[in-house]
Amino acid sequence: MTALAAFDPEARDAAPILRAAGVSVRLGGVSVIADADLELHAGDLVLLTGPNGAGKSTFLRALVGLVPASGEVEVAGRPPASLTGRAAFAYAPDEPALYEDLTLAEHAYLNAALYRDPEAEARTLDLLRTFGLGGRADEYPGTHSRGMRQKLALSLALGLWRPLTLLDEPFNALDLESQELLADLLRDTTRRGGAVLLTGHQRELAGLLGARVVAVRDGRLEPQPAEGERAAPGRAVGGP
Amino acid sequence: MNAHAGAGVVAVGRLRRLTLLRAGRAYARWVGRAVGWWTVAYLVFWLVVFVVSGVQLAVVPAAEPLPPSVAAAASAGLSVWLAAALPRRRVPPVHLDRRDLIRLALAPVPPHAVLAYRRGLARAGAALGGAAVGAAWSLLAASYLHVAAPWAAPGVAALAVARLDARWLLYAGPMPVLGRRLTAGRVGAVLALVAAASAAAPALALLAGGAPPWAPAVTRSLVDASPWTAAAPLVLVACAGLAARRSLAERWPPRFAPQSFVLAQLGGMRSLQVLSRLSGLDLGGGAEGVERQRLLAALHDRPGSLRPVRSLRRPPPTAPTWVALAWRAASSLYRRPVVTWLGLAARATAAGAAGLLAARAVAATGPVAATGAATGAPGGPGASLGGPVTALFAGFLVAQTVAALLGPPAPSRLVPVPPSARTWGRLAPALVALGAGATVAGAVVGAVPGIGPLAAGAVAGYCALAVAAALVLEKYSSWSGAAPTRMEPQAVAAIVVALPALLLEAFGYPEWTLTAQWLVLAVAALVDV
Repeated sequence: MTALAAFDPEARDAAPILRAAGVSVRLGGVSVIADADLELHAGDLVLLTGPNGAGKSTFLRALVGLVPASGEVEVAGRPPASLTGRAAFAYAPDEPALYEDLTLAEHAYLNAALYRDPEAEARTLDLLRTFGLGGRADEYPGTHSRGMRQKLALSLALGLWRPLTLLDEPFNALDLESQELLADLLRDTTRRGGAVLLTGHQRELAGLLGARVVAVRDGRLEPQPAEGERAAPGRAVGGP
Repeated sequence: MNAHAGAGVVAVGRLRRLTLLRAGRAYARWVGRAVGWWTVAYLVFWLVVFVVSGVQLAVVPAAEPLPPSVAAAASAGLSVWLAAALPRRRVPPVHLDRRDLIRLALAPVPPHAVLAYRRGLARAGAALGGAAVGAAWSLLAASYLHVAAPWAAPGVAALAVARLDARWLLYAGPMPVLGRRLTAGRVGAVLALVAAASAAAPALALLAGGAPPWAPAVTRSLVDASPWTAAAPLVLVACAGLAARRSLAERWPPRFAPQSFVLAQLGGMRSLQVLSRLSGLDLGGGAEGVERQRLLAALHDRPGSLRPVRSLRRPPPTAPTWVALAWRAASSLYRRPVVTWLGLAARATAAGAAGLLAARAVAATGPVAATGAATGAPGGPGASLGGPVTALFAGFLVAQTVAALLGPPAPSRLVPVPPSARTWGRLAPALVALGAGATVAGAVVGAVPGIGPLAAGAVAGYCALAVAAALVLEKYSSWSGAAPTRMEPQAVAAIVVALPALLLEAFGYPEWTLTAQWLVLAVAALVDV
């Protein structure tokens, strides 16, 4: 699978891009995530919120197979561990995972080559320019600030145009301008037909993004009614 | 010192005592549980017994003393060592870790109090090393030069500590020690010069027929039995220590903090490498070498700290995945220092020579041997190396070389890269280097009288052996998670490529070894892990 197809209004009713059913994570004998269900369709933008240690990052890692979990997870109808499943999502952890011996431009190239999507390189470089890093593409990320590294990690994930984009605390360390820019980019991604699942502490992010909110409390997912829908809850994005 | 700074000094001292005490307790508890203190005592006891008896057996007093030129050479060596501290120091001999740098160095505390612990550790290490050298000198001088020098140990220990302080003073350069004009750099240069000139006196005396009587004062403990001979080095170390402390009275040297940051990162990287070697974890192939280069460039403010000094042209994004990974592996090799390249080239050539000789011996016993004598006579030096042991040795050497040449580990397992693309991408530069090394080795081996040019069978045998060993190494290390530089994957690769020779020789079909070697290669290529 390469770039996303153009936004398809019917896609919302098609098969979910992400389907997680009964996902549970136990670490060191402690239940971190208990029996969580979540479905994301094309165009969905979902914000996982919750206090520190609630299990937001763990849930994201469980979805992509970075922590052992029970339950069922499918990305674009395939197990996320399979080759085609992995081709269907992009994941950016809370701490940018970068190669210190590659420049920013080389990161963009390698990322595109690994996902067999030649256009992703140009898109990533475009995003780096948008984030103000165009002139520093030939530098090592090791010399860059935390925010600049975060911008590179986000550009790599968003430049891939995968059906599902998973971002763990993407707004961390970003300046205000970049935060607004990222919000626009995430909305663009969903408009193109991609689904985005991200984590964040700030409830106001939901308003900024126009995202549906799923709260993580004590390892359980609790869909929150959208702003203005508190009286009459709408479609439960995160619920069973 | 004002009251504020005084309180800071007390606080730093208290913090050190607290953390050291806790660390000491934890370490003692861990040693007690993991090893046992009685075991440690037992080991130390026998170590001392073995060392003392070994020294007694090894050092036999000579009937005639050695010529004075030996002592002069020793003094010249000591002088060179002391003078080596003189060139302008660009890197501090002691540094702080990141935590101390943030928590303590930025606090309103006199720098000497913050650096006291690190300086103390470094000075203790220098003193111990110097004392060991001095003690060895006492022993050897008494036995071979017939000179009693019982105070050499404290004398050399003091010199070693003074040298460390002189290095700090030379690094601290413009920092004031006494007034504006007496800077740390000047004091350090004078101290190092005095020590070096004094140490050179015996050598100069031998050459010129005499030296001023004051000159050997600092190193007199090496040739005299009087306890007063240790006084001059102790005065020197006191002066150096006091000057170093005064250079840290108020401000840090200008580049100390940024350099400490880099040195702390380099130290952390070194520790991680040691731990990864011990535990067999793969940290990043050659990637950490490039990162180390970058940090060293940052330390010395050289080009290469921000962006690479050399880059390979990137293949088009439409190229297959394995090409991108091969570019990644080749880039990692290309950005290593030239000295590393030379070492890798030597290893590839050595592996090629061993592999070609093993394959030549195998080919000499197989069907290829019957096609001509060009492979070398079975009784020649090549054939004498033949058999499973040769193949095992060659396989191990090839695996070791491939481990050093292998590209960084595959990207995160979340990335959709097929195992075969990963394997061939990571291996491609290593295989090219092995091929080049084998070509050089083939030319050298072929020119050796009695061996002659290598036949096609030997080259084909080496190709099968080398590629199979490389494939097994990469696949096994990726599958098991063991670092390719570790012994285990290398041994597995060597055993697998030696199996055909071992089994077929044992069952009486050595002529099929070459064919079986190709079969092993095919299986290794097909296994998709």
